[in-house]
Amino acid sequence: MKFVIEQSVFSQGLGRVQGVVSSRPAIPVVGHFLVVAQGQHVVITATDMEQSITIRLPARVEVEGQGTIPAKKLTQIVRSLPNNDITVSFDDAQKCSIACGKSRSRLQGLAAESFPLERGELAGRDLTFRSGQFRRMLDKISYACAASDERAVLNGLLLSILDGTFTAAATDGRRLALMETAVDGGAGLDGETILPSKAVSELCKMLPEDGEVRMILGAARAIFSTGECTLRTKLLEGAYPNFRLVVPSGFTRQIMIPRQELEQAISRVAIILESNNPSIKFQIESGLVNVVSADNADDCCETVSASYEGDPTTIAFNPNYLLEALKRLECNAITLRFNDKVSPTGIFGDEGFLYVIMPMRS
Amino acid sequence: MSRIKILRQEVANRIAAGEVVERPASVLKELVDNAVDAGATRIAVTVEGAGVSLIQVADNGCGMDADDALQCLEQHATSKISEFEDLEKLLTCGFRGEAIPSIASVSRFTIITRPHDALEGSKVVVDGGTVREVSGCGCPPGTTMSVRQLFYNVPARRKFLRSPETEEGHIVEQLHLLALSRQDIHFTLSLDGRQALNLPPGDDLRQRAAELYGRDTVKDMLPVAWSEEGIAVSGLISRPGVHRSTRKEQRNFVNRRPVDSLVLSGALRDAYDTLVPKGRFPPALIFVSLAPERVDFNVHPAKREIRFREAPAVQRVVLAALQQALRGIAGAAILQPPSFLLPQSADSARPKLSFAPVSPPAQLAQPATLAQPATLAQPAKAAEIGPISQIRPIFPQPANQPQASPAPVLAPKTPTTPATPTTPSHGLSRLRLLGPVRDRYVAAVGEGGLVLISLQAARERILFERLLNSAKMRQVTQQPLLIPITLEVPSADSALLKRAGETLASLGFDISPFGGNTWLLAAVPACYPQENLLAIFRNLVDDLRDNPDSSSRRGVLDQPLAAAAARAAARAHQPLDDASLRLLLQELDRCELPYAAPDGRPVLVHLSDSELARRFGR
Repeated sequence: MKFVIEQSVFSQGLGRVQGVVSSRPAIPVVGHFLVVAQGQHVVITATDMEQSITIRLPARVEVEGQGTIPAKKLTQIVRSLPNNDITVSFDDAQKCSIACGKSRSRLQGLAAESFPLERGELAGRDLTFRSGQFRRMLDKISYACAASDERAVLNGLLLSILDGTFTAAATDGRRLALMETAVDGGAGLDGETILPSKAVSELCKMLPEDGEVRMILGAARAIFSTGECTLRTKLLEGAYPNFRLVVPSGFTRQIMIPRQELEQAISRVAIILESNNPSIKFQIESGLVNVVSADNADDCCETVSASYEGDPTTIAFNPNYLLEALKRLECNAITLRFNDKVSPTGIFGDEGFLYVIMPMRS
Repeated sequence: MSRIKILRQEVANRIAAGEVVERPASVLKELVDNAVDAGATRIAVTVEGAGVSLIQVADNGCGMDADDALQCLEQHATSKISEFEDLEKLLTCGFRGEAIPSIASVSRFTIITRPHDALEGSKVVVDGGTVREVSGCGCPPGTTMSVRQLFYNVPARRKFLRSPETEEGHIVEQLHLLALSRQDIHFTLSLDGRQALNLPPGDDLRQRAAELYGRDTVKDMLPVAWSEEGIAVSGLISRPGVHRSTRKEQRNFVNRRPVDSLVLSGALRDAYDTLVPKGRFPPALIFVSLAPERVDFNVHPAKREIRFREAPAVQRVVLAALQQALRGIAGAAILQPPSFLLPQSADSARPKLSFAPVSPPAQLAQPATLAQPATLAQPAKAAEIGPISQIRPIFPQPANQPQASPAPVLAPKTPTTPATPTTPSHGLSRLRLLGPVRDRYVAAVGEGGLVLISLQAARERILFERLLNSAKMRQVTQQPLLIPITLEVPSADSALLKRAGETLASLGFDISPFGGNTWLLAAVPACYPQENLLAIFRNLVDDLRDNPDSSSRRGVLDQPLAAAAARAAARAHQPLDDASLRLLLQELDRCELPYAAPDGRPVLVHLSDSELARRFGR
């Protein structure tokens, strides 16, 4: 096998797939890329046995064939090379040589046949989204996934379709973030899929702003593909908590606050907080909200103008939970909807977005 | 004839001997006490046959003339007090006038004594309480008392003596105590002709303790110096993490008298609460001095038992003193043990700290902490025993500080439970992080060497203090869960949760029954980890089961449960990246007592440069 590829194309492509490769691979070949040269393209695949990403890059293929190359080393070498044509070739002993200008590196590959490549088609619900829209959807909620909870499903992100509404939701049991949008396609699409959070972060890296993403959601696996990239992932099994029960059926009060001002106010007043008291208060009055923090002898207060009609009230939150949501939104103003200072509070902003958070009690 | 008779003097003395003279070591104590009260600056003790053959105490004190030498053999004859009121202001070791006649009644007893201004000394020989000989003799000034064949006329007592090794051990321990209480006196001890101790006079406790217990033991001990409400506390206490299986190495002194006091050992226990494991005891030398009228030594003839007039106040002050010592510089001493220079003053006795705050905590810098209650420094009634008025303060005075003023000096009053939010840095945040070791420890480098930190213990300590602090300051903020966690437990554990529920609620947990043996965790304290709550909840139940003490309210308030909750959370998985580890160090540094987990297991292990060098043979 032998092909010639532009350094910038190669480097960018490797950057998009190498995140999947485990730093401590279970078997050696999983620490390698599978490289297939065919026609006008090379196809590079990385896997950690749970997820795999395949990317197709334009190249001048001189000899077709396939081989594996140590992933981390190749990525670093290619990244450090000058922006020139790189010639990659394999000899009979599966040794891969990477030549660029006066530089030549040789990396020992492994048998391409031993690479655990997932092949074949997947039967499942088939949808197509605009790639940029789907990426932003994931980005606005994925931080709310749990990191290492014993309830494994919380470590993932839910994609649910019900009655023509597509919902992506994430919760760690303390707050819930969801995005909704309408889909066409009828009842055949209804169902729930739980994506592992690693797949979500790889998806966010992989999805381009333009173009479309086609997803096939099967029972145990899912495939997401754009023009040049394909992500295959195992799904998390189990029942996701019924997030619809967590959202209060109605709110009695609401306040509309400029998003950026609020975000800045919260991050400023939170500076003085130590980790044993991560709480800030919203003192809500007519036309304004005072964002207040106090820790031992220190206190901060910042006033943000807001539109509110109703009795003055105070409600406390963990500032980190608020900031995580606020900084990812795009809208100019958010709406905080609540009933009282102890029951779940909703934050609305971008179209289709909902964030539910429990106020703190003291 | 009346059936009730006044006992003969000899009989009375022997009965008294039963209380005062328990074993050879108690003879030694009585004789040395007398020598000290006589103003001796040098006391030579000679012991043969574990004190049964001979106990001889020779001093260079004021001495006695022949009349006094005979008089002191009478019951209740003493020069130390004369009126009942004098008992209120005792400055001498003895006062009952019982010891000498009692000892003389159960041994072959000899006094050889000469006042400094007399030309000739006197010798009195007593056998079992009967005076055999009174004669003049040539001798150096001072008094030498020899007790031979102790209990020769009381076979029953003799039978109850332990093995010679044991009795000798008691004698040595007794002399240790006496030597510690008076560092200004030169003590020597000869055991069966071999010189066992030679303690030149000095004014530094650390030095004398080092001579008795070895430099290595003493060099890491922390100095205590505190004074409040006219109660001055000084001494040396072990750093957190050093502990023994018995209380034997906890030695308490009140007004320079070795005592057993529940008040003091209670203060010690409270100070080390959560710093040593349950059932372990930190070595300590604690000296309390206060006006004589505030303490009663006249409880038992052996004077080991005492009563404080205001026991709670004493306990509080001693506790504050110990906490201050532990809190102020404890950690720095762990990380950088002071090089053992035999220090000349209290200033140099303080460990040299490499990454502790440059200026010691304000309270420690106050000279007043070392001040003696004026009454001790100026004993009015004790004038008849001349030299005693020259006794210097027991405690080393910083050389550059003025002497304590004659008026009673009180240190600036400080809160007894200094739950100040701003505790001084322990220098931990300045350690250079090397990284995690086997996911359980963190290695870091400080100026003084290598520091290993147990992640589990560190997290326990951090959470424990956070939980307690917010509970103590009534600032419990709860984070309710959007999706409460349910856990089904065995019915035995259900009972545990029920019992612990109220205390857990005061810490900020909302745990309630959810039908059957299912429990619902609906809220956790805001300062508590929010990740992985199901695993933490399960750990907590396990902990309550494994440590039945947790829910039995043994400790102060909610401490045991806070410790259980901290353990439960610390056991759950947590990230080990550099940023989280650095944060951990910072939080640990903010802890009041970052040196041990709440169950007393150590947080830090310090390998000093010198130890590393030694191990590598450099």
